[in-house]
Amino acid sequence: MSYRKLPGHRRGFLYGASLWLAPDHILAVKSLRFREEYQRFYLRDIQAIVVATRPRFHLSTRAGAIGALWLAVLIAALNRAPWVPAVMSAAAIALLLAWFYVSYARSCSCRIYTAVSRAELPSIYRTWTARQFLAELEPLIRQVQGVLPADWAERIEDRPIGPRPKAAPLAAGGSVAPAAAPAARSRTPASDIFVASLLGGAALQFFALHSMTRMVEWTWYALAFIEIAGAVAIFVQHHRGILRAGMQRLAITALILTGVLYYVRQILAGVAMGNRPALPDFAMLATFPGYLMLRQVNAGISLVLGLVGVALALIPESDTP
Amino acid sequence: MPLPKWELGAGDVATCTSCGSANRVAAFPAILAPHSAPAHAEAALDGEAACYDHPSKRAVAACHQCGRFVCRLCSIDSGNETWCPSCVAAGAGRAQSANLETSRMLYDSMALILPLISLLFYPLTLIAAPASLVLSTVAWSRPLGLVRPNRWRFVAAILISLTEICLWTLGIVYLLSGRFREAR
Repeated sequence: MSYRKLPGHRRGFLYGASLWLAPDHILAVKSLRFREEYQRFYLRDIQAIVVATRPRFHLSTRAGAIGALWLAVLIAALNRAPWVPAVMSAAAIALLLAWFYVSYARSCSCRIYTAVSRAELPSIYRTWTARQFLAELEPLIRQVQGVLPADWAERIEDRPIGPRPKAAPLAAGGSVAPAAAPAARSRTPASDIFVASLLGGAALQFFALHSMTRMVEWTWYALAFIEIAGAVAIFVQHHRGILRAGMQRLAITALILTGVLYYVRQILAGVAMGNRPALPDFAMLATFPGYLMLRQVNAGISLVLGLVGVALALIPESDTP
Repeated sequence: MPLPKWELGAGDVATCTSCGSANRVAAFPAILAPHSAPAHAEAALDGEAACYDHPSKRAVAACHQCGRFVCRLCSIDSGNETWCPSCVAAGAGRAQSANLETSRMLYDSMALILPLISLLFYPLTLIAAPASLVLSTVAWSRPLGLVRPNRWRFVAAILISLTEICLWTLGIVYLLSGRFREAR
């Protein structure tokens, strides 16, 4: 079956969403990095589409790319002219203000109703996209369903629109509702080990800030390995519905920061050792100001992430979605 | 949750009385369609076709895949076709239509992201690049996402993995040849 792209595409760092048109239905696609989930809304079944204006502070991959481009230009042009910092600061402020204005005043949410479902369409989150979407879809639905009579508002007075509330009793002969899935937990032994490795890494960096030895270095490597293993276990447990999304996001953040800091550390070690083909002399590295600052930053980040992990683990399981 | 009536009160655009947001409502004739009653299969009378799974119930259609008669309870409609529960459960023939799929694994994305994300911690590329190459080869013929038209991610994954493997090979050869020179 061939699909045609409809207006609107949510490009997130972790998941995306888009809408596609088939001859008789709309396909809502939710992309979760390595999996796509599909939901179909047949044109003959759609009862209503509601667009509600409300703030949506979404950071898309496109916004991330613009930020990266700004950073690249800044790095390339920083020492070329005296006016560069002022111009780049003004550009950054203008970009931030534009994003804030669009997110606050030109954003919306979009819901679609059928007799048995009510669904959010995450890909429609800007008002101009919603207008394009409705302009394209309304004629197609009217072509399938016809036109509403003039007195439609009166005729639906005593009629429920959309799915019935869950609390409503089932009609005679209705099937038994499936049992609710067990709620995901806010902590597991794997997440506890992961958080402990973050806090342990922070403590090690703080206490051994000025006494850099090979022993400390290898202990730090071991903690990094535990952190990576813990993060992988967290991904698996979240995928199986055992662990909540917050801890998974923390693991992703920690892994990305670990990777970035690893590279910065390697570059600094290379500079300090003058590209000699030998393992770095840790005593010499400890005296290198940039390296010391990097270890402080690393310790600070690990501490903050560890505390966030503790907070996430302590949140009562009924308080978070 | 059903659609609140206040959203339809103004016809086209309504303002929420609690948060003040402007809601634009596009309503369609399906809103007036009577709610379908729960399916009740009727008893079959003498001489009438009966359901294959419920011999006492009247058949209302025949399965487009296997031809078995189905009662109203058993008939599964999709598009212009009717199927029996057995064919749908077994994914037989045309009942294995893409219409019934609710999710797909994206092996091409997996294969592409492996050699790229491992660059964050480059020693991992030693494992990730061959893994991506194997995954690309094994999963090449598996179905892509419903709205993905081609396999460019697989091609990119293979090229990147091969590049990383070549770089590792060159590095290892260079190191070993240096050792040999030092030994002589």
